[in-house]
Amino acid sequence: MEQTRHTARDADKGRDASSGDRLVTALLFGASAVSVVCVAGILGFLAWFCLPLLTDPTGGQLASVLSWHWRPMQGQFGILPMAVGSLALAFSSMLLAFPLGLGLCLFAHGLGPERLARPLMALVRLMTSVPTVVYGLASVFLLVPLVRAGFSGSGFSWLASLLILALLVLPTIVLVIDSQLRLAAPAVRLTAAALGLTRAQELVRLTLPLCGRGLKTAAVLGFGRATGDTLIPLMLSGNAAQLPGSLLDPLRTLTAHIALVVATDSQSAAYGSLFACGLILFGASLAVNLGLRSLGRRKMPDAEDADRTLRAAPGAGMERLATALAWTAASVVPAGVCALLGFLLWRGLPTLGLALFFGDTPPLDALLHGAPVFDGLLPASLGTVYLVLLAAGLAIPLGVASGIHLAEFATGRAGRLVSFCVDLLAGVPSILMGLFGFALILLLRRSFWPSANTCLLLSALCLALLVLPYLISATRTCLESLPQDLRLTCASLGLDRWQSVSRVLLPAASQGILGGIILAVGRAAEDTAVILLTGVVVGAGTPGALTDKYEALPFTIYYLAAEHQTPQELDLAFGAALVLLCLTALLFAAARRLQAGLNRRWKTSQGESPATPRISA
Amino acid sequence: MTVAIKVEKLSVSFAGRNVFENLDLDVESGGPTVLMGRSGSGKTTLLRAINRLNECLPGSATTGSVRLRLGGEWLDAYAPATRAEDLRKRVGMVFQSPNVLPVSVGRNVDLPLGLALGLPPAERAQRMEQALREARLWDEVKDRLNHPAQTLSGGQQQRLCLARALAFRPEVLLLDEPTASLDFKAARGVEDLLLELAGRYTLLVVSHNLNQARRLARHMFVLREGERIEAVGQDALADKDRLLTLMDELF
Repeated sequence: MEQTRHTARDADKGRDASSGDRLVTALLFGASAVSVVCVAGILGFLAWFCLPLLTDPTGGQLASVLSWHWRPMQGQFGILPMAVGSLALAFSSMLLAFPLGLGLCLFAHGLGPERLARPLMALVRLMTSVPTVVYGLASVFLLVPLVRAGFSGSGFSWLASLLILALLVLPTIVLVIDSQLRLAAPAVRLTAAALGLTRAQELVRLTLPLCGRGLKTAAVLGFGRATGDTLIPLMLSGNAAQLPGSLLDPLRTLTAHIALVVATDSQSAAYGSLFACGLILFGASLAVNLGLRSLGRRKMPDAEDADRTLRAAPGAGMERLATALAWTAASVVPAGVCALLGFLLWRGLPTLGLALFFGDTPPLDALLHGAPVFDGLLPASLGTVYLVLLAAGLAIPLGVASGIHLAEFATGRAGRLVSFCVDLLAGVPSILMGLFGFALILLLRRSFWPSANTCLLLSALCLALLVLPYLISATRTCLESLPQDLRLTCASLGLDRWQSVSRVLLPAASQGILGGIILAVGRAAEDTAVILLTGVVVGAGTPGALTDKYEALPFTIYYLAAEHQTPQELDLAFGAALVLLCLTALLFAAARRLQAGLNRRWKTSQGESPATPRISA
Repeated sequence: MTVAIKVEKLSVSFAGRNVFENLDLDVESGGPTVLMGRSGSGKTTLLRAINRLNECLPGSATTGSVRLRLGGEWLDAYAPATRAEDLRKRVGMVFQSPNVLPVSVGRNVDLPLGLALGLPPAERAQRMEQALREARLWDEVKDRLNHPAQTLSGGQQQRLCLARALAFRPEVLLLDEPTASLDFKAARGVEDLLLELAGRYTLLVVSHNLNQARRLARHMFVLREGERIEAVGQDALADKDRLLTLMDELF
């Protein structure tokens, strides 16, 4: 009897497959391995460049870095104030953003009027396409003066960056929770209604507890985003290297610190502290991930999870609390976003025109004959387009393949390692991807390529790395939440694994996967922190090759917001912000269209199957 | 009569918990053979062991042997050389609740034919029409083949699933309470259909409805709480009262 023992694992996940099947599995596995290699690479670089601190025999360097004073001129490189600043800012903004995000989802899923749900979610999706640097620019000239007038000081403060950071991480939280609610709701809706539950009871008591994993994912991604953001603290928090005494004091985060030091300093003495900052940021995201993992280690199915939550839930007040939260979120968030975007439109619209792009150069000369453009946005716009296309081209195939691998093929220790690395990568701050690229160049220069320099390709690589975990998680989550029955059906029809994945499961999950791609593309287009360290410069012109320096819209905005010499230059910044916003919004709209098209094809399969006659009408 | 499915010393467990142990069962060709038993006695698991579908569920482990006579030759379902996909292409299955794929009516039949059997479009179209006719569904759906399958009624969906299985021209059909989600009339329709199909296919039907079993069964087995499987004699099958008494004993 023993000779015919078949377990689910060996027979199903690794069943003796045809060679084509094996090739597919190997390719998918390769895509997953990329995440592991990247995590190892980032950690390796950080550790390697921190090594001088640790091997210094006197221990003086290490003591200097782990102190409370940053005075580089006097040889003091203390980074502790920045570490505290980072944590304080991230926690405070999440305290604001998570309840608001949850409130928005509850509002859209039945606690608010139904006709407001669609516009609200549309606004949230619009927010995903609002670049960080655009929020930054609008806030520098709207929120900061308000804080200055309302309280005292310069206005560049913990408070200002906290508010905007919360707005920034909000869509991430909302979209994750929303997609989970969408998946869980249909299973519960009719039953709950038949049992006489109100929409509020259904949401709070049944649907939400079923989304436990989604809520956690939202929290992780949101917190990762809050700790990892560079631009908001860099532009709004004042950047004084000190501990903030109150919400109105300035602070400096680790991320902003890295950006500031790389931008202003190129002495080796400061580099040690720079990579130490990176190591702390990496450690922080590692700690968050490990903490979450130990919380959810028992891997219970969501239903049992929900059972526990239900038993623990207190009395009837929950529904009222949820409704209040929903209405608060649904009024505060749109008001804030509209104020900022309205301000941007008011300042940016008058600048729109050909001159914004081409400056004094005749447009046709610039486009057809490559005449240089000096005070227009053309080079920066083209730079951003190239950058996003390159990064998306690199990341999307890898991310989707790896997501499929994790959901359908990965088993045992290898699968766990990959999914750990993906989670970790999602939590790694974007500035670290930049630092990774920067360190790569440093290493190449010191070894076999002395002329290596930061460039367009390097930025695209780092950006691809940045968005990879978003793509993987989205693909994986969507596939895993498909009903088990669908897999059984495919198997009972004699489809092999790859056929059921590619022809049935993937199309069924396509909507969610494209949602992930939208997030990823938007993220790549707006990121400034990564490119800040990997090759963007002012006045580089249009890049002609992958190894050229380049300009990019987000960087132009960041640079002009702080360094504008004339009101005209500031107008250019607002114009650029509006252009960037339109660009990301367009990308986003295109992705939505694609999504709708794919869905139509899957649902009715017209033209796909000759066996399907048209409806006679 | 010849044996079409031979199950020997079959044990299936999920996550270390035995569903049943050391079961032996001979299923005659044709049929229908009806498998009865209380809910939770492992009828579905036994059925799924025959087309190796348990392997698609987490934590399953199977020992023992299942052999099927397909195309005049014996095929060991669990032999290392047997690909599960090939087995399932020749052993059709209809689930308890209609499990249409989230695609159009036509694609539900067309897609698996194209993927699993690799048939050219023309033959797929021809087979689809034939299968839909066999399942008595053609007249109802021929004008809405590209409507989503979910828009069909429950009975229509179940007959679509049956048609999808028939389109493969399998030699064995496994049916897991095929009328559980249907109303009386639709259920009778499916039953008549099964009796007719039994001339061409080997049918193994799981049921927990005694009346239905009596109408369908040429052979009957009762699975008892994972212990053993009892054959119900032909004499008992013919006599309603004797059958009822027997069922009281066995259940």
